[in-house]
Amino acid sequence: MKKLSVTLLLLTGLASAAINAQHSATETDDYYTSVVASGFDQAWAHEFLPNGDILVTERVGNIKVVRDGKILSQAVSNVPESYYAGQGGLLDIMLDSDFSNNRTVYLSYAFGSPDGNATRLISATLDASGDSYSLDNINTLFTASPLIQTPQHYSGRIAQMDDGSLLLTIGDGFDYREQAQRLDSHLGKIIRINRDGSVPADNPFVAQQGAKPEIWSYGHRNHQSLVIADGVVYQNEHGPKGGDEVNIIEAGLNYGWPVITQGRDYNGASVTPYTEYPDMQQPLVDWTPSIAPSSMTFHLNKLYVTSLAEESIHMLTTDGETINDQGIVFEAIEGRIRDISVGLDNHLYVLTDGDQAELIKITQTRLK
Amino acid sequence: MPNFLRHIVGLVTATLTTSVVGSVFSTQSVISSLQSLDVDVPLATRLSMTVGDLAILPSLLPIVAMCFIVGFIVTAFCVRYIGGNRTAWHIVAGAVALITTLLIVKAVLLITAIAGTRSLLGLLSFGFAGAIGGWVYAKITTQTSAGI
Repeated sequence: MKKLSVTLLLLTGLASAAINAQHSATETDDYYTSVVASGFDQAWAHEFLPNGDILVTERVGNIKVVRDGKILSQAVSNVPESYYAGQGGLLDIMLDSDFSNNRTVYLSYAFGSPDGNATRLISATLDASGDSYSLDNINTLFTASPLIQTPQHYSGRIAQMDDGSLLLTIGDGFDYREQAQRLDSHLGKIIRINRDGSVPADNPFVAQQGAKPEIWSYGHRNHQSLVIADGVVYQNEHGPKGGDEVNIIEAGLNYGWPVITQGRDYNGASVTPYTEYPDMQQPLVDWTPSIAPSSMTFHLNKLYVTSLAEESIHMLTTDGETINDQGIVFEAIEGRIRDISVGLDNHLYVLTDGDQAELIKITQTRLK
Repeated sequence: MPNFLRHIVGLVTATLTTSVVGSVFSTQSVISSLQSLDVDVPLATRLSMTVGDLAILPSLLPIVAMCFIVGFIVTAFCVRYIGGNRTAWHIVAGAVALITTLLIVKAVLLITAIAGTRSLLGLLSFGFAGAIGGWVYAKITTQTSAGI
């Protein structure tokens, strides 16, 4: 019996050591974190496949596959070439809500060249062959217009509404900020299209002469988060120096940039004299100074917002009409955080930023 | 006033003048862009924003000073070895130094650092501010023709 106990103790110790070797873990009273996989180069987004594999987009143009805690040597093949410069490159990935039947994925990326580039949205089927994946039946659904010449502020976050239509955030291109207020430009907008790229007949500006029919909301700067929960569309966006926002988006509304903002230009100069203006929406949360919100997810009736500059995760409560920032959570996670989502196991996963990015699982031990 | 001190006073005055004028021009350019969106900006609001934007001076002054130091050293060589009107040289040098710096910053950062210079008119107006600084420097240092 004593021998059995010693053997069990040894085995437990060895198993524990083996787990620790694979997953460096940090534990607190309420949660612990474990590194699922690491070594991503400029990771931007991740998505869980029904079989448990995890797809991770790298801004440099790859879609890496994580299986059983390891990054497969073969990335997803046939990924369209993206324009990798500044904030550009391969951006978001999202599975269609009917993925198990149609195998459709959506990708956003910066398309073009220094002389003319734009945020683009495509659909493709994800084909599996043995241990590898490839994209097939690639269709360009949308390319923002006009083209820009600064490789900044592409935004590019994708979401899918209950009716199957797609929302995509389009940044203001940095040097083109006034176009966020112009309805003849896609810059600084959220656009809505059908799965096949066509324009839904009930989009708010379909009937307006000169307006881009894809526009769903406008007056945005660089919005890298878009989450739909219980039919409510939550969005956040980077302000300049201050003026980061969380908004609830409604069709046809003007969210103010660059006419109203709490932020200033990076050099300290005014963007505008106004923090409010008629017919422009106020943010429901404002972060001044900036935290640089990068991603957002909805989990157990709370919003979680990741930040780059503050290197933190904020938890927000909402009733679908108001939003309250409850402050920073999961402080054990360090570094710039790029993306967050809820895994198939109902736990939160975050991607860090940089050229050695990590995918980290947050296991909450006291779920509320 | 000793020559060296005169150059210091000239450089400081030129830097301050160009930075203030450049800031004012940039603010007017930003307001003009807002007005193109039919945003109403009354005179009092314009003045308030213009004064408030002088807050960028602490970050602008060192950059303008560096522009002028390089530009005026090159100008001294041009005056000495090419000849011509010294004041005219400094006016051109001030403008070229400012515009060149803004273009270099844009090439490096991939964005326009001063929003008011995103348009060609805004860029040229900042060059004009540099030209004023060059003129100020030339006038203050005019009695030291052998200097920079």
